[in-house]
Amino acid sequence: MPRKGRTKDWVDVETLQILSRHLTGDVPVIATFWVIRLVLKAFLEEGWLLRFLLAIDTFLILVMVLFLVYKLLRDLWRAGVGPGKTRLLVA
Amino acid sequence: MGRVKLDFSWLEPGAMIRRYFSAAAGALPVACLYGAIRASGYEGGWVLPVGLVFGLLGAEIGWRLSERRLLSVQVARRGEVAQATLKPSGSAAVITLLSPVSRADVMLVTFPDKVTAIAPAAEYHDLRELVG
Repeated sequence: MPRKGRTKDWVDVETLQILSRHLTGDVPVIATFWVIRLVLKAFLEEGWLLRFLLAIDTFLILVMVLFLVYKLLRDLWRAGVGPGKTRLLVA
Repeated sequence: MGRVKLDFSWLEPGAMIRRYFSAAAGALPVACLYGAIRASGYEGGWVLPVGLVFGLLGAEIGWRLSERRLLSVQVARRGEVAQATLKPSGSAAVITLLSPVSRADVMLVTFPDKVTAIAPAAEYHDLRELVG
């Protein structure tokens, strides 16, 4: 068991918190848009409406993936992950 | 003026999901425009990159608006209720009060979605970082 205060503990609570917060927040949203995509393909016939709705859905999936990556990297950077930064490790 | 750093990592996952949906709603107008262009059959290569830039801008606006809604707080201390501004930063948030805070103060943090936290100020471990 790692002890509190040791700088070589591999468990970094803050990093795990940031990862869990963003992943539990963003992944269900992206999954929802993916399900909508499947539903649209299943229930709509080929035409301008399907192309229109699929383009919106694809666009939102792309934006949310990029947004997740941006938020994740920004928060990890602020938490001290990155070159030239010291980190507080707690276990 | 006092500054207190609060740990909001306990915020339930549902709140984060709502925030990401707000971000998606912010990008929706640009998505509709993109959808209309694609549905018309136009295949210009500049549409997606430009759309993504504006879409991310819309997502950021939606994200920040939901942040204000989720994390606006009232802080009650010594029987008085003081409005405070709150600026999230990573998994923590900084509350700026109009007067110094002591460890004995009781803080009432109220969220618009009815999640309310009542705790002695001293319970927040980051109160050590209190700036008076």
